[in-house]
Amino acid sequence: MAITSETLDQLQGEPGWLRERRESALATFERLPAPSRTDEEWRRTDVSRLDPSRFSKLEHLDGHELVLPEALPEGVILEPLRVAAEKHRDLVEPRLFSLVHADRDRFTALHAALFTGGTFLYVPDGVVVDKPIIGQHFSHEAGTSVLPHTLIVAGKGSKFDYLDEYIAENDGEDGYRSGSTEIFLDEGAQVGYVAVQKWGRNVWHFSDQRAELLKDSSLHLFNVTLGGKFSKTRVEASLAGPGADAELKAIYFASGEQFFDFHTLQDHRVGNTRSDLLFKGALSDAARTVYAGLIRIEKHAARSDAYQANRNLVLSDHAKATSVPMLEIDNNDVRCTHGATVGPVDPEHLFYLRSRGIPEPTAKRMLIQGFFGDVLDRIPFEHARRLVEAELESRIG
Amino acid sequence: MAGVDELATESMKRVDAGSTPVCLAHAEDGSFYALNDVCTHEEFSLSDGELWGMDVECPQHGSRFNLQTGKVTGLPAVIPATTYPVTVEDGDVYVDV
Amino acid sequence: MATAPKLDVGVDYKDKYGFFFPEDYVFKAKRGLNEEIVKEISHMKGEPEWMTKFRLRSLEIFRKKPMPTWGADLSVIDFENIFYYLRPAEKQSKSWDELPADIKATYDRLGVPEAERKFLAGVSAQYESEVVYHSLQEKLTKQGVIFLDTDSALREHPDLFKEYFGTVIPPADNKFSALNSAVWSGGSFIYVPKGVKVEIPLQAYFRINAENMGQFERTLIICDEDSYVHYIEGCTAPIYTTDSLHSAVVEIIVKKNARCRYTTIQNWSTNVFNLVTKRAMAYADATMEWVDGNLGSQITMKYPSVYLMEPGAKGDVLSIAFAGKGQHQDAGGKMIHVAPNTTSTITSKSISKAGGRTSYRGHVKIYPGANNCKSFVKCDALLLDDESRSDTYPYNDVDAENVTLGHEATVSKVSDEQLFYLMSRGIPRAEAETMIVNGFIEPFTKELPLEYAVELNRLIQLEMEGSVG
Repeated sequence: MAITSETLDQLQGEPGWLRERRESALATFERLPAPSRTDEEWRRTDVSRLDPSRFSKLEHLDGHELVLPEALPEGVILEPLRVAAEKHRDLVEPRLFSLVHADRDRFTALHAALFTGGTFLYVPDGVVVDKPIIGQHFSHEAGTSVLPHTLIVAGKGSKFDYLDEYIAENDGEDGYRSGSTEIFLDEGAQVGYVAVQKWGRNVWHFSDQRAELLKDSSLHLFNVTLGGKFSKTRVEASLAGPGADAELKAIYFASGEQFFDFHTLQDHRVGNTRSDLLFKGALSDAARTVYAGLIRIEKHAARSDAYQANRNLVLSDHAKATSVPMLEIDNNDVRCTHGATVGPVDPEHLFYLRSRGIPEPTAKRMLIQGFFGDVLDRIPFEHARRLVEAELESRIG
Repeated sequence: MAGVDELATESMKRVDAGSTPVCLAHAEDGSFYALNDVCTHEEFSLSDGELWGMDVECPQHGSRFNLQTGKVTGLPAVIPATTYPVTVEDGDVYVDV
Repeated sequence: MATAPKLDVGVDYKDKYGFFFPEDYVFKAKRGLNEEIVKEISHMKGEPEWMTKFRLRSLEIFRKKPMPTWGADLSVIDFENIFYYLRPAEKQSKSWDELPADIKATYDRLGVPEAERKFLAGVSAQYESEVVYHSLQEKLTKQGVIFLDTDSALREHPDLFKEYFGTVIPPADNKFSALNSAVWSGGSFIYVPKGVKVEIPLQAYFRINAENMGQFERTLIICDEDSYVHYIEGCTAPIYTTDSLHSAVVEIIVKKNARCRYTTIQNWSTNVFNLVTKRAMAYADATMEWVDGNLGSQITMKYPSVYLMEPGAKGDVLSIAFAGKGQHQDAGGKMIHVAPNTTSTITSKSISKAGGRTSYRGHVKIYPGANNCKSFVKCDALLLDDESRSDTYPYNDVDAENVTLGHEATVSKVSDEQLFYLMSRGIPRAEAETMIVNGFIEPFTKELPLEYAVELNRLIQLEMEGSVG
């Protein structure tokens, strides 16, 4: 079944402005060509075998499950995004898809046209939420599309943590999945955001996580990618105010024939900004990963400090890792460093552990855990840390 | 796979054998040859390229492969192409993948 | 750094390299590119038919290929406004005195004959499209070393030539290798026999004199087993207000246990587009070293590469780029690990000033089965002011087991601490900056023969003066 405006009819009870947005995004989807292999971003990322119209049944129409702190401070708005579009139009309409643009490619357009579940979180100026807010997005059926979108607005000086968990009820199901997030950080806001993608092993997954940071705000973003046969994730921070500080961290564990693609951007639009990125992944079996990241220091962004690293642990001779860390530096008063490594488990470390009588599989597992150890420590809040450690444990084991 | 008449001498076409893309070539010697259509260099489609004698040349970067053996006859590719046996029966071309 | 180097104030590119002589040529093809011109070049050179066909086919490929959509902006190149073939002299000379007076005067001013006397084993001098002077020490000739211009090599060693020509870089590799394959002229052909070590360097000097000139030399170097050669190339051109095009193809084959070092000091005037394809194949235990310095030109796009074909092969690229006002140096290196137990390093140093832009672009690829490889890439960029720009685009593809690949890059400015330290010792700011820059590129200059290192330091000083004077 093709994707047409009739597909949109599955989404009832929305305000007119949102329906118009969806129609327009659908037109964009139809207009945009399929990504070409000669386009650098898609050169190693093959989507020629994906036909989204196979997944025109939308799942998840009623939103999702939210795990709330016992009581939310006054003024905090936490609603399913489609509900908030009606009730808080003034807050939602100007921001929705203003960071993750619908016309970026066919898949962002499709997401903007058909997003289903998702959360709108608004934390007013000066408000601190002590406990993390957790959005759990479940997929129940095979052959469907599940397309949640998270929109987070952090007021001046607000402080909170948020976790998006993408969960498959059946690990073997196929389907089309996305999970995109837009985060607006006003002056001095401090946000911890963690996304844990554990969709089924046969789905196509597309995700855009993009944040805009105003003056003196700080973002600790942590991405975990585990599921999907194909997973493409963009993580982008736009540092738009002096004193803004973005920490972007990720881990991925790819096995079987999984293909993971990560594109990151640290966009220093003004001076006195800082960004620190570390993406660490392990690959086993015939898995394949692509990391391409860019630090961009714009013309007047003096006294910027940017760091970017991608580390890949290759555990099998059939796995393939690509790493493309890029810099575009347009100002001289900066400090920029980046690095990439691809390598096996250190044979000396393995030898040491084995000489202590530890069997090889256990020794290898310990070394993989050690590899992820330093980055796991950067998960911004305890609940997410325990969750990620447990997930990783079960996959390494 | 294809009819003999569908493919003029010194021309190629892409055919799919199950999930395997195949470059089927009708070479200057009159015979049919089949090799994996995906260039071992950057994964472009060999059947979009050109035949130069008994070599197929990738359209993108000029890598060359011998039609009979799959051997690389010109950089930048370095890995040989997989070749498949071809039989012609009653005007039809069969590729054994 | 106890004493500052003495600055050669008042000399600049224009005086030293930017002069030109009126054109008085034996043959000048019409502007523009078409089949007639390609046939004419081939006919004038008296080439065999296979080469004429190769050229015409390459022209067809050139026309079909799109311009690269990445790297520098090449849309300003007007291919119809270029002269594709200029023959400056009736014949090649073995003596500088036999050359036409203007050409001899050119090389005298560039100091080539003097360098030849002092420290070179052989010299090739290309003026516009043809090599006008050539020499090789007799001792080397007797050992079987072949050092010729590429046109002569096609005539004199047709079998050896045909065996290797175009096998490393096919015309279709990229738009500019196709262009070179269609209109190539001149360049060097070197064959070093088994076990022969050419201890002192061979040099080629490429000179453009005419306006809107296109120079398309083609170089082919074959190092047979256990041999060694160091080849150095330099180049300059007068400064014109309109563009010239230099598009070379360099193919190198380094056989078992041989070593080849290829050093370039590219100092084209800032109206030259320099779009060059350089690639080497290194076999078992062979070593290929590219020492690639890019100082001149308006735009350079050049990424010397090594295909590590058999176990034990080793590849090195040492790249330095300097971009001043209006310049874009898009340089780097590629290491393609085809076989196991191969190693590579790429070291890039770039300096941007006065609005110049340097880009490092590199590719390290480890093919399946090329296990136990090691590759390390290090890029350092220095930005001297806030108008300038630096980019780093490293592509790393690992498809094999037990591979160790590392990439590191930093971008920084001349640090205030370093400057303050030097200035507090009475060294003027401009000199202090020059010293810091010279220190920054030292890993490069120390790989050059002494005479070139001195010259390079002097060039950097001149460039630096321009920035503060």
